[in-house]
Amino acid sequence: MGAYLARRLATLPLLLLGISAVSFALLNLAPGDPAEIVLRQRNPGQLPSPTEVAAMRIELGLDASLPAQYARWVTRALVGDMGQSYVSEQPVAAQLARRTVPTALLTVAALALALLVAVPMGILSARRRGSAVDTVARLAALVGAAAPSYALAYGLIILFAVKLSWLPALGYGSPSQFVLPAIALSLAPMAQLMRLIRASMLETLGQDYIRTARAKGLAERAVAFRHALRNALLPAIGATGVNLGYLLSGAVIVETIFTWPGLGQLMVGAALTRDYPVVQGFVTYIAVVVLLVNLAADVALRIADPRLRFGRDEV
Amino acid sequence: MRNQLIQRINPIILMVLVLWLALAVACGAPAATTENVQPPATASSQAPVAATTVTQQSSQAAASAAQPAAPATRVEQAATVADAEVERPTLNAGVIWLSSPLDPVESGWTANQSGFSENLFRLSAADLSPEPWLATAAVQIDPLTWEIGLRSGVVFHNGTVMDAEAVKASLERVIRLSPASAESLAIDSITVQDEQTIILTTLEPRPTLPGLLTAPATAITDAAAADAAGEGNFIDAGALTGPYVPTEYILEERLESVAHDDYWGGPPALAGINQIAIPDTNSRELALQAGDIDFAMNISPEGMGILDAQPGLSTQTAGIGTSVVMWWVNFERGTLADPLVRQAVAHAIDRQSIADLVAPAGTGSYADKLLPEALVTCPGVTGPGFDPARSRELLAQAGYADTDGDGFVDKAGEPLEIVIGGYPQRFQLPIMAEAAQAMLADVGIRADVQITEWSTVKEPTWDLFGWYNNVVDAGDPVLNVSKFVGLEADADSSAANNYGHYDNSGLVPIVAQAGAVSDREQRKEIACEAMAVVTEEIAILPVAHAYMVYGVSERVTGFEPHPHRVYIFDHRIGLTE
Repeated sequence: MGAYLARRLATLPLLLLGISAVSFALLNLAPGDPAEIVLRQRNPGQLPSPTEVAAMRIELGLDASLPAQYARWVTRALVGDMGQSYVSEQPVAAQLARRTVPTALLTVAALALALLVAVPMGILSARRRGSAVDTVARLAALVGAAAPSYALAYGLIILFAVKLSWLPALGYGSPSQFVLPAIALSLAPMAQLMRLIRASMLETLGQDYIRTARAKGLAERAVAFRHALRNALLPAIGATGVNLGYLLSGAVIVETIFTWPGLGQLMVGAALTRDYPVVQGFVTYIAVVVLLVNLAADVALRIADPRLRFGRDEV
Repeated sequence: MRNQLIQRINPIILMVLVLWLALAVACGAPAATTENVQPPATASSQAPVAATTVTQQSSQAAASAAQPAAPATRVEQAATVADAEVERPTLNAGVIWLSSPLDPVESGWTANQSGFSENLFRLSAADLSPEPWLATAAVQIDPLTWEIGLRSGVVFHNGTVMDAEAVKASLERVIRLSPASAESLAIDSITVQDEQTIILTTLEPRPTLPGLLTAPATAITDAAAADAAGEGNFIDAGALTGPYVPTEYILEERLESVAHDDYWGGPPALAGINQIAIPDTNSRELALQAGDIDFAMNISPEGMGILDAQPGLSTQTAGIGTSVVMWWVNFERGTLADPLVRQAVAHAIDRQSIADLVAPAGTGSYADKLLPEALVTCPGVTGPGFDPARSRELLAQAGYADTDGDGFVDKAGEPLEIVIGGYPQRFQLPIMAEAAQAMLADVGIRADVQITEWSTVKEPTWDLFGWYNNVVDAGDPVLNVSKFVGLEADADSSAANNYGHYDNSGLVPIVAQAGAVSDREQRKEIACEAMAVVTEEIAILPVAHAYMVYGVSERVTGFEPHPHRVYIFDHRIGLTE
């Protein structure tokens, strides 16, 4: 396990360097002069003069060559300085740090909600295969997986905030403001996890050792929960790691619609205003989070499944 | 044992979920609105200003409503404020973005529209001419000299009195820290004549100086306090004069303020205003419908109908478009440099129908010409009308015909293709591009729509480029027609941007006439002369003038929408319980 962990950790810096270089190049290939965009953002509806644009390009350091700009960014990023936002003129690292808490809370809430519903429903659906419960659960999962998160988000706002006036339509801070964004964000991974757990449970229940357990005279409930569940949940551990990446990307849309002051909303604003340092910082930061979460999921999978440990590391 | 544990988990999970939902609902159910009362929308302001004198009498709209009929003493005001303190509510308002710095020299738009900052002059709501705000009058003594009287009783948020010395220091700070403003104002010296009067001398004639002083960047600031506060601490300086004092500004999230009870126009009706950045238009409109906010700016045409139909909500607009939705026409790429093709394209596009799409009744109006009629009417100037037959004739004259029968014209084997560019942030532009594409196809012109980023306008990749821009700067028609063809208002040098690379040499002598003309009517005539050339040569293809549309709940009182988005919140806007 130690060797495996060291090997995986050793690849992280290279991966991050590659991701940051690609995103830096792509951002700079995109059309649009950040200097002009910043000026337009500060003075909406105004035409910036050539004098103002030239001065702003120097102020933003855009007069240097692209490799020089990237080298400067990497050098600073290594000591935690990800530059300053073109628009707000605040340090990017501070903005990312401040926005992390709302996004983390939302993501964890959505993931917890997804797991709380998907695990029991997936098990129940598998155990009662073909029943009305199974049909309804599969249909709900299909809708949850197919419906785009923005449509779900608007639908939830119209129903619970506008029509019923039960919950606020937007904002951040109170428990009530958590509900709609968390539900909107959780539905897709909830559906995916439920289908995965159901399929995995069905496959496990067909294994020989399950037949043996039944032959020993164990009750069906004991067979399902004591013998089948642990193996059936293994794919869900890996999928949870992958889903965290999805949740972070899905949060971009959900946070924008619910005006949730998280990383997603920051990213959308920065992308629209060509705020390169913020976009670059966001991409790198999310890359670190996703890589570490995936690593944690792989480690958890190895702890839960001895076949993986003994199958590779010990050889 | 484990089996039993798992069996118990499922009901627990369900209970936790139900409790969480119940708690959340109990914590945050907003009150529903039940009545539909249309807030009164009244016009403000009136008389046009004299040519060389901008006086308080000519602009009572800004001042009269702001001035109490019988000014209360400070003690009486304090008592009134103390009594009202308990009752005054705070307004929650949804705005599109909150990204501009509050220090006027760094931008000034957010500070102006939030009711934090004020200028010496502002644009009148009636005809967009400059009218006194913190000034009382402006008299042009000679082409290079202006005498400006100042309002008394104005105090900055930090309690410092605004006098002539303070205004002098503020303008000197603008010149020092804002190169664009320094270039525009061309101020040579500022002299304090007495406590309430300053004398401005300019390096060159600036006949529209009061108009130029409406720019948000020139808002009056306590310069010493702003400089002392240092970068990033502008809020702490209390350096502005408006009816609201910023207290917390989290960029792109929220901007909170409290009432400035020593405001020269009397205590504001609200305890404060919380602005929330809601960039998504649907979310902004839904938040208003849900009661999370009582005020929303930039309502979409679709949202306007929904809000007006919902009890307790309404939309309001001044009904004057101060932004133009248009196409730049590229003279450099060759295709549209041919005047016959340019005219053919212009006649092929039904701009009126497109205006009905992107700025339907109540949200804007058709723009036959570049400038809105509130700024200048040029009766003899008419843009190219929709005439597909004429368009086909012009194409034939230019040597284009459909030789291969594919429905699109060509010349010497080369098809006639144009690229229609634009950017997605203004919803009008993609719609315009697609509508024009279909209309051009009807006369045999193939058009490719490329919606990218707005600064693509600087690249030679398009023939028509959709654009959305303020078109009432300084309230001066000459300045606004000039800047779109790359000239200063006196044609002395190039200005802003001439994205279509239009040859403006023919306009130079026309615009140059305005160099020393301060009479507004004469300036309108010069602007019309310039507009005739710009329209005749199809340097620009205007489509619509867009209104500022606000959504308000019935609780909002005293809100009078101004045509210009830089004036939104003042001390009169209130909120009933």
